[in-house]
Amino acid sequence: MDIIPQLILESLLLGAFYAFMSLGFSLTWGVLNIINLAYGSYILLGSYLAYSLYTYLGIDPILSLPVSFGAGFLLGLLTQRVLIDRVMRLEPFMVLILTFGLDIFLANLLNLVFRADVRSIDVPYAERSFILGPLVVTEVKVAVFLLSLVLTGSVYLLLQRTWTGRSIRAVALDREGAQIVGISPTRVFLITSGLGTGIALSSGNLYGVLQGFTPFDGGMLTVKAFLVSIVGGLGRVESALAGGLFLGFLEVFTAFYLGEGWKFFASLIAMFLFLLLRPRGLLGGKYYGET
Amino acid sequence: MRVLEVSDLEAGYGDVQVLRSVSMHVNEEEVVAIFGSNGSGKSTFLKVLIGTLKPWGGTLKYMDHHIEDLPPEERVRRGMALAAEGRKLFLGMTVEENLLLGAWTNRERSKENLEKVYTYFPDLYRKRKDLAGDLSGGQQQMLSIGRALMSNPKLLMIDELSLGLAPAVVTKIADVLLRIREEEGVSMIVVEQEVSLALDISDRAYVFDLGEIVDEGRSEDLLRRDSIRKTYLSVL
Repeated sequence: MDIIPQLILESLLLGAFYAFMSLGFSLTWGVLNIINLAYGSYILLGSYLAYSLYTYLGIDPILSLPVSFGAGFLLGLLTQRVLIDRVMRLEPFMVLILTFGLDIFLANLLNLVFRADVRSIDVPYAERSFILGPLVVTEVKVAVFLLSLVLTGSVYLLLQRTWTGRSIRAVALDREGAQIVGISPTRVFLITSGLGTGIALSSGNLYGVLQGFTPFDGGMLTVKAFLVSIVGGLGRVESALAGGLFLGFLEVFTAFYLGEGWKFFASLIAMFLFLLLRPRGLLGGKYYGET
Repeated sequence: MRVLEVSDLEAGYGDVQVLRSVSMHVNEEEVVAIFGSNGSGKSTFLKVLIGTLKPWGGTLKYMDHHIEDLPPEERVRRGMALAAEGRKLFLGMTVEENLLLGAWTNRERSKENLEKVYTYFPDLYRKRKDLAGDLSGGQQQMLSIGRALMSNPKLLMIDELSLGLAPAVVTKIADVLLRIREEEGVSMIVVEQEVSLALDISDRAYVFDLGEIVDEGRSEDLLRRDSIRKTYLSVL
């Protein structure tokens, strides 16, 4: 049996999830011009929240998506207002240190509460599969794929069709220009931070049903979001989609042909090549910032 | 009635003082020109007026209210608008999106104002789906002014009206500005290096040099003044 169609299918499924997962990171980077090193821990926070709601209250992680988004939005607002807003006026390096510290804090907090054991959200449909001719795909992957597309599409519509979305894009393109039309960048930073963190936590629900997780997986997830943003480019939802699909294909094909251990190495090589040769990424918005 | 009244304004960047004791005013439906050499503080002055740069001292009164401590968004909401130096457009967004964002503080009238701007600048209507970054310099200047008009300003400030534009385009834009003043009753501050243009389209003018106002008067009087003609119009 030819394995290629199966690999392509797996890549698409994974890539769509990576696109949604990285969207918050890319948005925060593009609009606030900060790299949030705690992003991966935010994702895990969502995974543990969904895990707790499922284990103790029996709420399906798909149904608890709005809870994670809401909790993330509030956390993003709070973090921005209390911490990041004060530091980002100084210099970019200070934000890196701050979010690095936040990442360590969150990882250890999760470790304190949940211990370092691998947890997983074992929904009943995790083992069921669809068989489409020669292709086999688990129901849970299809559900994550569809939800990722719907949620990514919702963010796209928010950014394109609403006044709030336009104001976010305006600040990303020209902060001073936004000020002189009457947009408050501070307010946009708050909303973007809330939105970005909300996306991170809700993608944590999906991550939790896809695979097992521990409190210390945040660094790896941040690197993936970083790679998607560099490869795809900043500023647009389409860019995150392109970067996510690229990472999906890269991981699936590298793992199959070279082995699991090569996945991360291949991602790093790709990241360096893009930074060197195409800093705007595959689909970076014209006139948006370069990574 | 005075739309704007500035007294003893001081401002700068870091430790460098740029504006020194600047006092001026703008009357209702008046076009006031500001000109002077490069680095004389003209653009800095407009930044202080719109609120993106905080003044060090002095007073700013708009429609008889102190505005020194108001953020830019509140000044725009009250009717001040700036077509900024370098145009500060959202280059990755379409012409129409740029215009709509100009109505951020006045959303309920965005459709009506959009039609009005397209009437003043038909070129923008033809290019409404294009990215702002893909427009010519003249069209970008029209967009910058059009975007400022979307908020229904009472005081429109334009920085470097003619910079980098062909004379025919400048004339076209200047004609539209005079029409806007006539039809909308908008007061204007026009910062311009091309002194003959500045004096042609304005009622009064202020001359900036090294951050200070060194001369002022009615534009027609300034046009006849020897010192102005020798220094700025190269007439011997």
